Amino acid sequence: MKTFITTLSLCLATGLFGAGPSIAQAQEIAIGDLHPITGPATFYGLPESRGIHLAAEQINAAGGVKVGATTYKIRIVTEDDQASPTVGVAALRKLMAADVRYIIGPLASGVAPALKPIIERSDKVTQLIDGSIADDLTNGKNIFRNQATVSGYNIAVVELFKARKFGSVAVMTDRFHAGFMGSQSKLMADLKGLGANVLGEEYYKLNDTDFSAALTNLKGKNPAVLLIRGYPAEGALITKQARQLGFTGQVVWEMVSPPSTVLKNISASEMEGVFNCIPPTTEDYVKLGDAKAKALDAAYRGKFGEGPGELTGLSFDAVHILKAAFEKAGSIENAAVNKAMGELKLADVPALTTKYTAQPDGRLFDDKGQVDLRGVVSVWKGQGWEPMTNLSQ
Amino acid sequence: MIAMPLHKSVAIAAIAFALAAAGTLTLNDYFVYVVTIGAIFATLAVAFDVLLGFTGYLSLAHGALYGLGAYACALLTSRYGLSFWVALPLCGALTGAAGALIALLAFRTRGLYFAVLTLGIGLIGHQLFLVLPNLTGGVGGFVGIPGPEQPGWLAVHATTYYALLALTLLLVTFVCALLFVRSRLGAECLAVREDLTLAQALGIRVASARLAAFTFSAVFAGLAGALFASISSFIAPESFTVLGTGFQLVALVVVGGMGTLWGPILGAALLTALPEGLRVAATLSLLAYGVLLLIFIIFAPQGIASLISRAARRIGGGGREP
Amino acid sequence: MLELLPQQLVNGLALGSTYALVALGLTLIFGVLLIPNFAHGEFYMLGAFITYALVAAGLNFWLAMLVSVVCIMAMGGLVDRLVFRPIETAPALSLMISALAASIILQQVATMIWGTEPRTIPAPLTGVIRTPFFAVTQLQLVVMASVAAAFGAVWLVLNRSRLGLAIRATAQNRDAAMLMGISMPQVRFATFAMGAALGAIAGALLGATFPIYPSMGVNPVLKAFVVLVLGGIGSLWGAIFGGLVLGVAEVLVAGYIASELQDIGAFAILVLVLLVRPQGLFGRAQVER
Repeated sequence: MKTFITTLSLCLATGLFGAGPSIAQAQEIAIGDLHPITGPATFYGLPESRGIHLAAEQINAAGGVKVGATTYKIRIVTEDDQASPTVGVAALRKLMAADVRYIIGPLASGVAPALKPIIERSDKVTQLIDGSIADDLTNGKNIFRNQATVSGYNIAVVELFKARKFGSVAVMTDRFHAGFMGSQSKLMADLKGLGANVLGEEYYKLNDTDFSAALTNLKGKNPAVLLIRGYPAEGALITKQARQLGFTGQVVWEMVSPPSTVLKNISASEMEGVFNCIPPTTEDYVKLGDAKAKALDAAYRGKFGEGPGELTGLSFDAVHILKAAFEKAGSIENAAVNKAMGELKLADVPALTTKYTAQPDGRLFDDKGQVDLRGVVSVWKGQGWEPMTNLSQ
Repeated sequence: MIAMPLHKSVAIAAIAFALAAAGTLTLNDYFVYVVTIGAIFATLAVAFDVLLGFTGYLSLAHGALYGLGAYACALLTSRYGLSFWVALPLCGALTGAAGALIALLAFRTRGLYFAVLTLGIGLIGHQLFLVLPNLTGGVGGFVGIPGPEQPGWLAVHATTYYALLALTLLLVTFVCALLFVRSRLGAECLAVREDLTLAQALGIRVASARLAAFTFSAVFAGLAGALFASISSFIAPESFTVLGTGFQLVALVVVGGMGTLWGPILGAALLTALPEGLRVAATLSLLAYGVLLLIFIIFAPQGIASLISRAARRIGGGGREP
Repeated sequence: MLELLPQQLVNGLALGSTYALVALGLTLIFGVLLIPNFAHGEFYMLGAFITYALVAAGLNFWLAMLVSVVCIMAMGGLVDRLVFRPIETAPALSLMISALAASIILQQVATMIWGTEPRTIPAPLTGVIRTPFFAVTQLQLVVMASVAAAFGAVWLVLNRSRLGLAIRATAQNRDAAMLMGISMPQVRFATFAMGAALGAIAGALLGATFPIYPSMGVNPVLKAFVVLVLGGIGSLWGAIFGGLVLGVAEVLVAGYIASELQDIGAFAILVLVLLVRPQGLFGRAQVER
């Protein structure tokens, strides 16, 4: 009973404390960091949150954000969404109630559409999505995204099929992934248009462990390519089980899959020659010798004692994009910043670690608030992915 | 349990409602949202308690019934253009019918078999939300559900209005539940819980009593789901899983106090507020939640309601057992 | 399609034996103590992680599995002491909530130690046996064999030892057993240790096949409850048969109807079985307790 009362009063105290008017520190811009930092999605969410903190720290150390005559420091307010829509909405409302007007996130394709109606209705918040890849999440008014869309991933798959002239394909898709599911029919139509015969489309779900039934069927049809769309743990397992069942064709992945994670689940020799079709990650840029990526990698390792995550670069970039928009707008009011975001040129944000393709008029975002970030084809060689320069061999 | 006269219970509920509603007007959007979600879960918990607390049958299908109400409301309002106020009773009727059907099947079993059978039904329901994308939007969810129309004379912010709706639904559910359990059917349900065989031997209409309890809880779960869909504007299958919602409901009722109707409201309030309060613990918040839940259940295995009743008896002049 | 049937049946049996392996420990604890031990999934998860950590440190797989089993047995006793014993007389549902709380805590502790990145224990056997009709991996055969071995071992303990006699007596009638002078703490500890050991064995073996991560035990334990009820509560043989039936059913639905319907099909079969036989396939007509 005593414990119960103590706990209850503790909760009330934190609640009341949180309810108090937030005393806005002068010369500060609050940026909300909305990612899963607890629960199963932390493997992707935590490195994103850290990327944001790292960028803010560096920007502040370098003098902050210069808006007109005033210099602001960035203050990051982290809220957890546990990759759950309800928890995410509560987190968003908490940020908005604390008058945080700029939000970076979320990661999960299940959370983003739950936030969208609230953000669209408000003129006091601007969102920059750095994680979710599902289509139709941005509006170009106050919702932008510096992450690729699934359609951006699919470009690489189509390029690969064009170059290799694969005659047939079988697909395994994670049906819990809103982005992959939403773009499946379009991709299949594109591949058919290239002359590839779609022999089978099978589905699994995140955390499944047995794919043998679907794979037995697919293998029986003897496709030239097995395309797997989802996450690496299942990707590795599907690749292994397909080989065990005797599939000998080409395996193609379409998934964010750090080599370190891949190798924790499948041996390097089983991965040899597998293709992957996603935008390059920080790790890829480091491999290509990119100076900014190397600096990010070193700073991240210095601060957190481990390498950056697959999406760290995007989150890091998101802070820099907001900074550029504040400076271009000469204001920290949402309306002005939204306008500046829409007009931002790729060249206005020199700090970006990700290589975006500029819009035809040089802008970073298109009219819907979406960057142009395209998947490229990599191939597994030895211990990791290697970006492919020539697709036809 | 202190058996209060009905009018007194209703009066207390109405006062509590008025206080909560007045409090809502003073809170910021975030707290208003937490109150809204808390009230929706409390509605679910009260409805669930009518079944679990008064008949002893543990259903894990209620997460899916809640989802059915939500998807039905989404379809009726956004695709068929019905007003929320027309859709709401239809959703209740639909989940009530679905609940009755499930009950007719599931009451062939009892104990753990009943729990697992309803678990299966709950899982099938959740999977159906995923594999029928034409109706539900599939994994991507159902977007653009219109909110409940706000009467012109009620000049409050939309989020406050939603919270008032949720609190009203909770009050209505609570009063209906009170009427139900105080009715003859309610008494028969209790007999079913205490001793099924004896109840049958005494000629109690076991089948109709427990069917009524299941249907009652299904109707109100559906109403809660419909309101949730309408005020969220977006729903996805993730919100209606057996592991999330199904077990969460059990936790609300057990932590609050089974078979009391008001205990589950406290359970819902506590277990909705707790994770929000624990946000300060950042990455440790889930761990802290687990530890606190364990402590609660070990110190109050019969729920908060029994603690409060015992404390009230001790204060209110010692040892008077009702 | 029919020419794939032998392969699909082998797939189903392999999947089913993984379900049975997880369900055995759960059914033992539920059958004897009537505790719905959701934390069984975490015994399974920690069994896998400890084996993983030891193998990564250079230990032989089988030795690592043995050490892990011993650790998890001790942990099983500890979980019982901290989570279930304090509310021994509470309703079964309170036990269920405390089990759920224990699962959350154990998952979070594992997250703090290992993070949520999925990983797989390097498999001790990697060979594939190919016949003209089907292929099966050596590890799948090991899993199937260990289901049989675990069943045999538990059967021997229950039916050929004094401790087993005490456990069976408790399962039949706890009060009478206590009146006969059976030491309840001893029976509890033994039951939990055995149940946890079965969970750890499942974790180690399946962790060499499937990815491991802190919430890996959640779905298997749900499936295990389904298996437990399909087979009939308290029946070890039922747990194995129920597991195999569920595995084969899932694979046939996924293979011959549609892979999206794998789960729906499996649970529809559960519902049908319970409608025809409300006490499960091998359960005796249930006595209300």
